[in-house]
Amino acid sequence: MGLEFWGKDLEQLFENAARGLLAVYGNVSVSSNEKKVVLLKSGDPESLMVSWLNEIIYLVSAQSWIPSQGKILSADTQTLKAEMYGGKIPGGVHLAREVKAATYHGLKIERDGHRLKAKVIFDV
Amino acid sequence: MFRKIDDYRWELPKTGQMRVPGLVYTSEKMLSKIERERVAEQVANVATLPGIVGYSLAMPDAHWGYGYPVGGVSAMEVGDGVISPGGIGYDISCGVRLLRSNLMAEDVRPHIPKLMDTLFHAVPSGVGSEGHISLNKQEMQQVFKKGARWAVEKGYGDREDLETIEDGGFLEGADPTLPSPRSVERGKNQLGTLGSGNHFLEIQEVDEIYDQKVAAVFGLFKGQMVVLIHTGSRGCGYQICDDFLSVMQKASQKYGISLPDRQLCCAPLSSQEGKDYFAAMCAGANFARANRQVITHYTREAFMKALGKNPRELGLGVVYDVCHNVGKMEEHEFPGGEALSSFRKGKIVKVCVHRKGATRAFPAGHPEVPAPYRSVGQPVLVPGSMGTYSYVLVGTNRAMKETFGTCAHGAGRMMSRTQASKQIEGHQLKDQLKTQGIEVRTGSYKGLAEEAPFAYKDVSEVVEVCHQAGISRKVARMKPMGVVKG
Repeated sequence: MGLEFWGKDLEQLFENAARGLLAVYGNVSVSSNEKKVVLLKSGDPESLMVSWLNEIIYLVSAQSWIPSQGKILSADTQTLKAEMYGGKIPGGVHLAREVKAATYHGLKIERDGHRLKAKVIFDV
Repeated sequence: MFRKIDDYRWELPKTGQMRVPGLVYTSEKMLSKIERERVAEQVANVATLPGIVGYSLAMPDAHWGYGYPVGGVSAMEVGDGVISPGGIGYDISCGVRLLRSNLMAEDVRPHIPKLMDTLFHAVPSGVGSEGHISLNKQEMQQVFKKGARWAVEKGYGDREDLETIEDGGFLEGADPTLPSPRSVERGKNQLGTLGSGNHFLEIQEVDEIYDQKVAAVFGLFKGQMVVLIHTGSRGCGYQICDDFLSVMQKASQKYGISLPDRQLCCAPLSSQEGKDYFAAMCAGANFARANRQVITHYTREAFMKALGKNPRELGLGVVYDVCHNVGKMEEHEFPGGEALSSFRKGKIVKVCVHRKGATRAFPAGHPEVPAPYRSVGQPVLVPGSMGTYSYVLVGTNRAMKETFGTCAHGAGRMMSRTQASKQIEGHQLKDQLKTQGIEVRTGSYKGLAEEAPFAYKDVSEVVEVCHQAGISRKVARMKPMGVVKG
């Protein structure tokens, strides 16, 4: 499953990417009383995008924890700091689908007019 | 683009950075689907990887994948060749297990609704499904090391189950300490679960026998009820793949490997990164084998409960368990072919065969074929899409010479999940299948619609190409009676 995201800068691009991923999960509604801070480093913006999305996939898969709100505090081409508010997926609530991972296949972040654009393929 | 060699072989000539030509097994009728799926581009990309031997291959069920095509096969020479997590896939050692029985399908049919309810309860399925077993780190390491053998030692099954599982149920090359804490965390509650997507557990009827002699050796006969289990290494395998894709991104740069697609990232088999990935991949493969073993145990318990029969009456023995997403160290004769260099033809070469959505298909006499089947060859299990036939085939010498002993793995998707779910509602599909005599149990009707039979190629056509091309031979066909859908 492929998604395209846009943002006026890297912060907004990463934020919108997370929103896209949550839509793939089916926009599950959870209480947002638990805060998680994520700090990631990677070699280039594309790898950083994969790490960011896979961080959320890991939280959903391993801890049944899903964010409902979040903010990218800072992002450049190699580092990202984000805070997310969310909670455990309630028992009886089913995600729309399982996401194995965000892949590197055909991944690129490029300028699209005044905005940045990313295309990410998820293995679902 | 493709050059026809014969009715079932189409060559992709070497161009650009390709080190070897490509070879696609398909019929003229199916070629257009393969062309639409951009398989040629992906086969050509794989052909650029260092150390690739023979052809970059695609099986008849090949379709677009992440980096590698699904249905792609490549053999990388040990020495200067590479290993690529993308050539094996996220669901490490995803595979199929077939159980035979002493039961006739017609005798089971009246009990199918009750049986399906019992199975649905016994074998957890669906997105993020968690099992009845919870393991700590030390126990997970034992699973990584021992695979299906761990499960049997813990009472999930019988010793004789291990005799007819690929590699005796575990890969020796596993290093249980290499999967990351995150892989342990993602897998620790998932042993004995089907998962979601195209994974399933089916009760089937053997409705056609093509080769009586081989079928008898596999313990199959017409009218028999059998069980087919399709699942893999769950979140644990996905995490191992993801962790090492990250390692390989850096390794590709370090070793100066030029990549047409970053998902093909890789490292030399002789490098530390390559060795570590192989050992972690083997650990993930062992988790998958343990998973199918535990599910086998739950299946037997469900049958006993629903039908009130004892294990001897049921006779739910393992025909075979084969994976279709894996990298294996194997020895092969250097393949022939007019487009290949001939000076090494016939010489023995040690390779890491990457099979991503492709099944091993070893012939009679091969030492890695389990002893009970060595006189006829390895069972090749080709599951169909839900509601369609599945097949048992047998490996051939021709597969050994041409495809590094490999055959197709299933029907092969030809419509995206989104497209499929736009065409039919899950409830509607369930009712449709019921009118065809197939009882479905699922926790996700959306997921069910995404796996609608029309989203896949016709498995019978795929199998026919394998049979006619001689890379395996048809033995038996099964039709579904009940499906637990992940």
